[in-house]
Amino acid sequence: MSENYTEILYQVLEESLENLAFMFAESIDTNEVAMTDTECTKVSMKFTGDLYNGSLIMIVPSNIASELAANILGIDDSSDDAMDLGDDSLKEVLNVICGRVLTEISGTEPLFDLSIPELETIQCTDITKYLSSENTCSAMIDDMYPIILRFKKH
Amino acid sequence: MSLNILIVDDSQIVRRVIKKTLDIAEIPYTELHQAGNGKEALDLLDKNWIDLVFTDINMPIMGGVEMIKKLNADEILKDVPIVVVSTEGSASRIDQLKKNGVSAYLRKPVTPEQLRDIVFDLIGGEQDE
Repeated sequence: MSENYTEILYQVLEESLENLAFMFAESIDTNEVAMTDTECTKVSMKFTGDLYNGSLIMIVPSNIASELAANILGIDDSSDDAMDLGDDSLKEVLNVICGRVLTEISGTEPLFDLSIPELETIQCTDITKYLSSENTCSAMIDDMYPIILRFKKH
Repeated sequence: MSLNILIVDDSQIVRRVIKKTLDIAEIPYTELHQAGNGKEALDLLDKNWIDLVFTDINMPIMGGVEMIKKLNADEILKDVPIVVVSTEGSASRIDQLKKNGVSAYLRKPVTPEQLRDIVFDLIGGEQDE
């Protein structure tokens, strides 16, 4: 039987967003995810370790980026800084989530090497292929932004 | 006590957050240098007097582990306190880093209280009762 990490993914997502950016995530069913925006951002990173290798993917509407940066730094979300640091903030959120997910799943003994997070702009209509995957959690951030997180062992 | 501090992280937003956290924690510094990877950090360390380094592990070009090994092999720079600020939670990684001369390890996200306690512990200064 394959392991199910959906609950762990959601807990780590919720804690990380709250601690990093004072944003609040509420779990929703994957079939309730409705991306009304046209442009989404896929952030992905890989990990290699003693026990297993794999990847973690996060998909959000692209317009969340500047708000995320603004919340992390406590600045106005329409400022130039918030606009400039939006992509960087998405990468950092996934970086924090990845470190914590691996510890929650496998404890603190195994060693993992994490890759640098990568960004890709995708059409929001393309997200359906991620929603049907195992170990995928979905949530709404601040009742405004859907978010998808997928953990995969390779 | 006023420090020359170097923050090493490929993420600009993380460098900004650490700077902001230093300000909130009221840690006095004279100069605050920033580097996007280990190689840039070594160049800065070569040209400037640095009292304390905050560094990430996973960075392009040169990561934190390689940078720390190079610092440790340098007669002058090996005594500069290094605080690793990372998302990793592996106990064996943390042990390995401490064996390589790392003074302290903080897991992201870092609070002003954690940062202040670590700095005062390493450099000396007033602590809350």
